[in-house]
Parts: sequence; C-alpha cells; structure tokens
Amino acid sequence: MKRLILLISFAFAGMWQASAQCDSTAHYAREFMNDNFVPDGQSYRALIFDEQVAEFETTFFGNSTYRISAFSGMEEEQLIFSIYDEENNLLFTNEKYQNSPYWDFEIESTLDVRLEAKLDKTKQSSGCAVLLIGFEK
Amino acid sequence: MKNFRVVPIALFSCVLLFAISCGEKSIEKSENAQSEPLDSSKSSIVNVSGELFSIPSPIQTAMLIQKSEAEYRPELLSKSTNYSQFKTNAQKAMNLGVFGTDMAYSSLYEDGQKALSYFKALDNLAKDLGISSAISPELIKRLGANADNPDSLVFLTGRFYEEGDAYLKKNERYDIAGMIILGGWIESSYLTAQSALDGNQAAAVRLLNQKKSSSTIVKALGKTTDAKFQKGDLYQVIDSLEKAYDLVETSYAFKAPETDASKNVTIIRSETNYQATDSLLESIAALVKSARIKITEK
Repeated sequence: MKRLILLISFAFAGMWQASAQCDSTAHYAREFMNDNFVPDGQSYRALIFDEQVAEFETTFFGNSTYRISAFSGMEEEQLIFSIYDEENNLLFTNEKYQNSPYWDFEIESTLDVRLEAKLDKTKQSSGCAVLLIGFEK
Repeated sequence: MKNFRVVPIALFSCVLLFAISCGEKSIEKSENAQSEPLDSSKSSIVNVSGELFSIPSPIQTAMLIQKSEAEYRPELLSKSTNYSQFKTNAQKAMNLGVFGTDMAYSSLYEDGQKALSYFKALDNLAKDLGISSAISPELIKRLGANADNPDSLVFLTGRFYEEGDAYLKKNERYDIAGMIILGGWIESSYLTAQSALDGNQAAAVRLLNQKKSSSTIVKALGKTTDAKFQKGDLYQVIDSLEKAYDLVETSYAFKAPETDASKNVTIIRSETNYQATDSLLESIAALVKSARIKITEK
C-alpha cells in the first residue's frame, strides 16, 4: 500500500512538474508578444520527445501581420518551428535563423497553413513546446 | 475535443507511473527500445493532426468588420443580461466565447457602456466555469477599466482567452475550451455574415475564408466527450455548415515568400481564391444564424 501511495505521489509530482514547466515556458513565450500583437486566444502546448513533431493547421488572413512566438524549456532557441502551405511547400523555418524564438509574417492573401514544431535535438531531448500566435492591431 | 496536446500531461504521468511500477524490467525494455532504429513512418510525427486545433481569433474578424467601415449594428449583438439563464457548462462556455466577441465588437465601435456590460457577463460566466482563478486579477481589473479603450481592450481580451485556454487544457477540460472557441467563432461569423448580407464585400470574402475553420470545428466537436451535445441540434447545424462550406471552391497559387532576416519578417505572397454563388453565401449565413440562435437563446 505504501509503495502504491509512493508511486501515485511520483506520478502526480511528474504531472505537476510537467504542467509547471509548460506554464513557465508559456510565460517566456509571451514576452515576445508585445502590445502591438493581439493574442489569438489559444495556447498551443505539447510535451514532445526526441524526433516527435507537433503540428496543427490554421488559416492566416490576407492583409494581416502575424507574430509567432515559439519556446521550449527555459531558454531561447531550443524549438524549431516551420510553416507549410496546403501543397506542402515550406514557407518558413526558424531553423535557418538560429531557431529565432519569434518571427513576423506579412500575409498578402488568405491561406491555410500547417505549423510544425520540434525540439532542436542538439539542445534538448524532451520538453514542453509552446507556440503563441498574435495578429497585429 | 479530447486531445488538444500532443502528449497530454495526464498521459505523461501514467507513463511515468507505469515505468516506475514495472521497475528494472521496464528500464531494460526501454533501453532495448532506444537501441532500435526509429521507424520514421510511425514515430517521427506525433499524430496530432486533428487533435491540436487552431481557429483564427474572432476578435480579428470583429476588427475586420470595423475597419471595412461597416455600420455599427448593436441590435445584432447577444443580450449580456442572459448570462444567468445558461444552466449547463457547455452553454456557459459557448456564451463566454460569444460575449467576448461582442465585447470586442462594441468596444471597437466605441460603445464603452455596452462593452462594459459584456465584460460583467463574461466575468460572471468565467467564475461559474471556475476559470477566473486562472486569470490574473490585474488582467481582469484592466479589462474592466478599458471597456471604452478599444486599443487596449482587444489586446487584453486576447490575453484573457489565452490564459483561460491554457488553464482549461492544463486541467484537461478540453470540451469547455472547445466550446468557448466554438461560441466565439459562431458569433464572429454571424456578425460577418450579417455584414456580408448588407453588401459588405470584405465581410463576404472573410466569411468564405472560414472554410478551413468550419472543418476544424467539426473535427474538434467530433472528439467531444459530451454525448448529449453530439446528438443535439446544434451539432447537426454545425455539420450542415461544414457541408455547405465544402461547396465553396478554392484555388491556390504558390509564390515564393520573401524574408528580411534583419527585421525577423517574412512576406508570404501566395494567393488563395474563394468562390461561391450568392445562394451558397446566403445558405452559409442562414446556417450560421441558426447555430447562433441555438447557442444564445435558451
């Protein structure tokens, strides 16, 4: 019984730690969203390991400027994020720019995109990835 | 709307619990597993397509309507005094999304008094849903104080929803998080549709631009654990709305993006065209209105 309680305690401790890490990571990610960018109201979070890739699809509206802030762990430049169009053309990856933690996108015409995020394995093997999307006022 | 994250934290804890309880054997297995080459077709991508959802901000759509110089239509907005009539958590959550959109819309048209009434309703629903504790008191205070300052209010509203969304997902209340998004999306689509029917071309285009969002919403709702919701009229209307959106024709032309690394900016020049007949646009507007009535009138 004691062993079971101990195991459950470990599990909850792990859950709390992972959750707390995501909260801290989100806090860092928010720092790159200045007051000119309105948060889209959603928090994109994922615990990822090694080669795993988190992905989701969204629509970027024409005549808008978006900022994407991408953060993992407690330090900058650990998360690689990429944007693909509906034909799977790579539109952008921060990997080419030292894993920059934020980037702005001027969208001329509405398009559907897929966002992917993965860890830079040379810096981190697992962690909470947080992406935030804001649009310029 | 069960899985918004790649590896839900509870699952992570279960894996941890399993690993601990299996003792040395599991460590051995784990080491063996690590030594095996990864099958890229199976393990390189966490299958979150359709599980991590994104819907464009309803606030952004409200801003588009205002910028297109459409007339202010306060008579279209929901009744903020209705908040006490919503009994179920799903109703409260959907109307939390509705009120936030209406708050932003009325504030953008400098109707501070109306915006303040939505803030009060929003605050009450957030308390009922147990979200308030996750929102910083300072943010709540600033929201209430900036009802007549659209520039600040839209930013604070976006932050309010983001903090609430993070809290709900952290606590695995995915259904509630999804219902809030649904309510906001339907309300902003309703305001857009009404403006489009008034002849606002920018609003008509924006309504058609929501094609992807309609399929994402249906995919997300398909994962809800709320069986009653899935059997309800609202779900059927949303499903019909997606089918109507399927008839919107799109064509996409890729153009190479341009990046200015010194400014951390990329210009995306690809073009998508959306085409629909007037009758299809009217059908979409009618379905949006029907969904909106089911959400707001109880």
